[in-house]
Amino acid sequence: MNSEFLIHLILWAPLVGFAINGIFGSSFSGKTAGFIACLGPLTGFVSTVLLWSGFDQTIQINYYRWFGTPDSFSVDFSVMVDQLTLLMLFIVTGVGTLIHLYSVGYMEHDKGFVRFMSYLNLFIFSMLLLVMGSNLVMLFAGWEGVGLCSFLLIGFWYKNPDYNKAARKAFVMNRIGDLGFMLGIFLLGLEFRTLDIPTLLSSMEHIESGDPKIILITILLFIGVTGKSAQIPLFTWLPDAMAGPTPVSALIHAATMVTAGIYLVARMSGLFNLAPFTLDVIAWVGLATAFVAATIALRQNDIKKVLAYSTVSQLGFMAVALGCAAYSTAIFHVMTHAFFKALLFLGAGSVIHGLHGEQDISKMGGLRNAMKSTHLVFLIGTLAIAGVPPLAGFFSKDEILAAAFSHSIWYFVILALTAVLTAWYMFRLYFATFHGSYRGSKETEAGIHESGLVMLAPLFVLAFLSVVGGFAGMPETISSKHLVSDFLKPVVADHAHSVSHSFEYILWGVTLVLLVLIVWLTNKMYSVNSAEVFRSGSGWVGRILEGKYYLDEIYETLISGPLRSTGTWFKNVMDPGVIDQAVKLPGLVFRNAGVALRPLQSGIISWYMISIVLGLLAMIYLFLF
Amino acid sequence: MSPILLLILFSIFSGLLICVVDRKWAPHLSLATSVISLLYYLFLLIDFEPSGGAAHLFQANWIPGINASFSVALDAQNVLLLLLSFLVLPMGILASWSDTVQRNREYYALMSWGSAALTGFFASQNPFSFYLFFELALIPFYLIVLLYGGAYRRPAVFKFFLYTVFGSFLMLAAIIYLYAVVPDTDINWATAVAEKLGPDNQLWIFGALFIAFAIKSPLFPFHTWQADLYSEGDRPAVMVIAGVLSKMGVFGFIRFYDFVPSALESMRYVIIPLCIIGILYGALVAWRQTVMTRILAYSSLSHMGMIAAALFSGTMVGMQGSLYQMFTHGILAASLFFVVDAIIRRTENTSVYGSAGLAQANPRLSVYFFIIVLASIGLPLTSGFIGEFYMLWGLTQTNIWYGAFAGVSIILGAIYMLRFYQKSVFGEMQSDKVRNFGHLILAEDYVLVVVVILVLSFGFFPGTWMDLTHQAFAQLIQK
Amino acid sequence: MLSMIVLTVAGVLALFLGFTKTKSLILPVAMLGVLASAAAYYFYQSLWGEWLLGMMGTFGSPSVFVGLLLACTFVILPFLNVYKLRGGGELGDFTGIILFSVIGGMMMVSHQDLMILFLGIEILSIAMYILAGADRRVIQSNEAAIKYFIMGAFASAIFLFGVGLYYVSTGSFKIFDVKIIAPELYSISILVLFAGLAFKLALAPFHFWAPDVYQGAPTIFTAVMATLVKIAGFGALFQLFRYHAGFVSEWIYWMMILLALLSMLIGNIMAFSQTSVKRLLSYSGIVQAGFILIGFLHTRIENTWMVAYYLVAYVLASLASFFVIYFVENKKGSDDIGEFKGLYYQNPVLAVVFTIALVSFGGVPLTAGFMAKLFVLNHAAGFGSPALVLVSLVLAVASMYYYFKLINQFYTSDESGVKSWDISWGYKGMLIVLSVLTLFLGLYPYGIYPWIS
Repeated sequence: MNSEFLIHLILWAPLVGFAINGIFGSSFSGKTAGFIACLGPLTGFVSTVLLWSGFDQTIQINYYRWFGTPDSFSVDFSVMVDQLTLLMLFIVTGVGTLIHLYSVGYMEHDKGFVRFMSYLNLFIFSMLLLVMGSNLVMLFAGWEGVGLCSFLLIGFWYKNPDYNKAARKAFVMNRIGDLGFMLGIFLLGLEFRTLDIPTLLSSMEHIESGDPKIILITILLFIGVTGKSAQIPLFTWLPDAMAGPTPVSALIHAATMVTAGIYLVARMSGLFNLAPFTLDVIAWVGLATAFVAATIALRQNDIKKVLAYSTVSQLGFMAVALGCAAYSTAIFHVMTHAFFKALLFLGAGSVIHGLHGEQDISKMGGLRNAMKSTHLVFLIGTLAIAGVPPLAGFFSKDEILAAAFSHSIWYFVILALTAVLTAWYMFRLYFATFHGSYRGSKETEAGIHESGLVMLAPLFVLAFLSVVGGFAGMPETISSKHLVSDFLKPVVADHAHSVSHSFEYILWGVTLVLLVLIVWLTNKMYSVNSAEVFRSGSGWVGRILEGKYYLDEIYETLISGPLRSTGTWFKNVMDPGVIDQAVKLPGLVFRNAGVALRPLQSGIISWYMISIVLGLLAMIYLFLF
Repeated sequence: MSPILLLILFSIFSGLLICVVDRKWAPHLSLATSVISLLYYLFLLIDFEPSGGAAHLFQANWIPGINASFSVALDAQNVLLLLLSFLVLPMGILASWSDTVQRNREYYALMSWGSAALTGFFASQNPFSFYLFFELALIPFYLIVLLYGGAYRRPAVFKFFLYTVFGSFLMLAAIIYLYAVVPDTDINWATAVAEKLGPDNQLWIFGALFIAFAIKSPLFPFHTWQADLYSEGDRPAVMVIAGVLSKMGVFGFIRFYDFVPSALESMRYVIIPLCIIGILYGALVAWRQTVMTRILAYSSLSHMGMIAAALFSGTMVGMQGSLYQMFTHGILAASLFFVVDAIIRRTENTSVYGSAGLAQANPRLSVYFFIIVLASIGLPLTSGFIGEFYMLWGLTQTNIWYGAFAGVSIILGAIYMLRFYQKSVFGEMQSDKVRNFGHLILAEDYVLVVVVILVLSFGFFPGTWMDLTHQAFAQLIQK
Repeated sequence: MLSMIVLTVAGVLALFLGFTKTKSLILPVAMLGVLASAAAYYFYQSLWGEWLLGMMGTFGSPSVFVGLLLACTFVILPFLNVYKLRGGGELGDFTGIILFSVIGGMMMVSHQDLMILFLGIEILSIAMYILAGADRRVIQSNEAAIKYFIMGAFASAIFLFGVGLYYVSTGSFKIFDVKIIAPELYSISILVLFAGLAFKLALAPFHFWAPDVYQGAPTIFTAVMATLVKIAGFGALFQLFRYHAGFVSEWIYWMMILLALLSMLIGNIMAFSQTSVKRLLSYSGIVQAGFILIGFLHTRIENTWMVAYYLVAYVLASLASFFVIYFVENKKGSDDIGEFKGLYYQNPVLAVVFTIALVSFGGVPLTAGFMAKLFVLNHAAGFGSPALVLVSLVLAVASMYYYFKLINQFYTSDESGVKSWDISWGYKGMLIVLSVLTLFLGLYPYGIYPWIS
């Protein structure tokens, strides 16, 4: 089958699904709607596989000239597929399909089931637009589109004001980043007179590294990344985004959307390589994000919140990889992370589903008997993210650590510490949920049940991927072939240096030892029968961590609060009090002048005569002198 | 006979006809005539060649004493805005559909006379006709609001009227002086008067014009008439005012752009910051408002600020964007008022909290509403995005800080529009008025579907229109 | 000359008919007289181009202004009919007086000699004094008459002083082919003459009498004063300055600008907070006079049409509005602004007519008033700095305020529940004609150009 047709299929199938469900959905039964919805990404996945099988070089499809004018710039409605896109397509459509399937089970009892499925389809479409867009505006269109869908899905249960607030917060914080992104696009366009990505990257040769313009542009683009990929300072929306249904958290806020920023940088790697300063910035921001998020995750009791912060932390890892110019490594971690984090979220979803909406781990425990398969897959996920060899997480994280080490020892130290913390909070979560004895109320305990097959099937698939996914990128100490980076080489300009084998071995050894230690400790601490350990800690450190470093409060007092009060002041004082009064002034003057002058119109004839004489004299005076 | 003149006369005579027909046919007649005008105009567009300059020109020597002729035509600059005015008028009439009983023949007659004036305004080919229609367009809508507005309409409409008249008299002064300084020539937009004027004259002519147009648009800080009028005025009329009349000001800047180049050059760096202040000011106030109509008023203050700023950026991209956005924002503002009117008529509550839970009561309306909201916060693939993208591009080209500060509006815009939408549509149903909200009437459905189609088609396929705007400014930029 | 005689005869006839029982003949006769005199003027001016040894002339502007005077009279006369309805016996007297006053006006506008000008002023004024006091029983009317008389006498004295100075400085009363002996004195004399006329035209600061008199006088005659006197006065001023444009120094025009702006300012300020509509209109009349005065800058015979056009617009609007006021006053017994509340719902025709008149005063496009302002200000812009144009238009905004405050009243539905009332079709027709003319001239200003140039 010719590849262009496949690309059309990949891109438009989800949109068609959205349109059908969106317009006629109200008349469908849940089954039909679910089927139609799943068909979209599934078609995408199948055609992706076909496309990959016959893939030789970059394909660009130009639908029509979207806008733009010859003399300034021109933007086509066009998509392209190269190795990087192909990899992302696998993740998006693959994980997407699984999560669609899962959702059919998870949401079937919800009133807005059809609406939910159609939103998911819309999201897939936007995400595809993002990864396939062959110019920055197309990419931006997808970028904003996924933002919109995340808004819709976070606020899916729209009757709850808090959820609405969370949705708005997510959209607005993304918008802050988008502004930076937009400005970056403008400067790029003004600099290179084109926004077509291949053309842009090809025109990078004759620009020397460290050009201030390029640094400015890359920084602006990275601001966009911090918004979308939840880096400091814009990451606070992601934990709140857990207000959405769990499949959404899995799909959008773990597997796909949040990695868009990473994708962007990798996509523009040629550009970023020219701005070492920006790369350092990215690396440091990534380090800070990874560490801060990990520490916060240590003291969260909401199962989804823990996973959310771990997502932020993992995104920090990826950012560090980008900062070390190890783009393919970052993408590799995107892939593995997509597997195990989706797995963990869906597992958590299955737990929540089984406990009828309970999310507080201090009220869980001992579920390993009640939910055997969920327990199994969750364990796999935990091991994978904790970096237990030879699971997926191990390879990708190890690679990132290596890159960090090769770049600077400080990167490595902080990152390694974070990795330890990661293992800690993940095992804490695991033990608290599945071990010890059930800490919730008795009547809920009776209702605990394992999820249905339609939900479990995707879990098993993801579990499998989390186990084997890592072999796609084995370090050269094991095999000389690194599938991912070799695959991406043509389109991604890596600058990472490899590290000595001895270091690798030491690293693994240390990792293993630490892991065993952590498992033993966490098991002792958290597989318990009383919710004692989950009570909020007394020490100031604990309180800061539970308060998430009070970032929300700080933003509120420093930014949104003042803005809000300024607006109120404008509305109540400035507008009616100052500007409008100034407008009314002339009328006031005239009226008062009229009142003031009325005495002159006294009706006394003598005064009238005098006025005539005075007027005449005044005129003569003016004439003479 | 020139089709444009035909359109103007057609509206005038249909207005007269409406005055005499039976009361219950007046709405139907006015709707029919407005739709006919629209279709005829679309038919004109088929074989319109933007690069060919003024088409369908009608010129009549009117006042030889000052060489002022009456001339109207279709050209690259006004084609979009004429389309806008022809589109918005039927919307307005349909908005009045549900309670035609309160409105009698005069109402619809005034509507069509108003549209005649607007047509003439956008089509005018020389400053004098421009001024004439600028003034005339005011009267019908003034009377409509005066006769049919809300409880506190009188002070609002009176302020609006006087304020605008103040501006237009300043403009009259400028134009009279223009004709006096450039004697014995029948001035039109192409006439090279800039040299004859000289910097000083340019400066104060521009000053007078700026105040006039800033009041009309309105731009900060000349906006205080706006919110009162929008919330007190008769909403169908306000649709037209917010959609079309508010564009007259900025359109004036486009028309006179060539007349006062040196003044523009020297004032640019004062005016763009002023506009940007207006953008942020409007956005912040809109954020804190709780009355729907007021939110819309201040949001359009913010948008108009952006449009003006982009126009004054003097870059091709920016000007294209502002012209395109004038059209888009016209449609969006009008349709937002349409939606709000549909809500307020049923809930009898102008507060955003009054219609909470609408999403359950009437999902259909909520979806239309949401799409319009998205377009007005400039989401890609909607019509709102193109204009905003171009305008910010142009501003960034002039100075990155302009781009950055004006760009803050896309953040604030998201804040206040989404807040507006969520508070008025989401949440639990509070009042019975919302519970038995009822279905949309056919007229509303039609209008909103058309709007959605417009929003998407102008978002996906702006190409031809952008070429048009390019034509509109090609000669300006060359000069 | 002949036309004046014809008018005199008509006036005398009217007086006689006043004694007889056939009052219904008075107005037809008077109107016929006006037509006849117009005809006489038109056909026989060629015969005696110069009358009374060249003390009066018909060349150029006079013919225009005479035409205006007669036309205006022709429009006013039918409305005097309301006195017949009242059964007042004075109809004949008033008709006669008006006709005589027109003769005075004709002398003023066609004078070529200050003596004639003075005579004209006196004839016109005395007639006006009487008309101002026409309502014998009403105290305000008498007060107005006395006030007007005393002030008028005073102004005439000043005017005579100016005439004297003029004679001293030029050695003649003639206003053409002047031989200036004492330039300084000459300029002052022109200035004093100007002041004398400025009184008649109620230009600030010589305007104080106007509001009181206008308000006190019977409304019909207020209309007469507001129109005939203004036409005659401006006609005379034009005649004077068109001959002296060559001699007077530039500063006199600056003096004019000063007076014009002062009139606009004072008029607007005072009108801003008036509750009596007649009084309000009298102030707005002062403003309008200020605008007309701008047309006198660099008076040239070619500018006749400009001034005349403004006068036409002004006269049309004033007549319409004063007659409407008369009817409302007649109906409700007061001209307070409150009485006009809901006029549109009681008597749409009157409301619309008045609206058009006021809009024309305000200078909204498509009305004669707009075109008039346009021409005058265009002239001013040619004269010099844009400031004059700008200031006068900004002041015009203030006038918009009180005009539209009044208009708003018409369209405010009146709760007091006054029944809709009506007036006879004859008057209605006349008023509609006035409005239509206003609109026509606004739409097609050159409709009357051939007549007034």
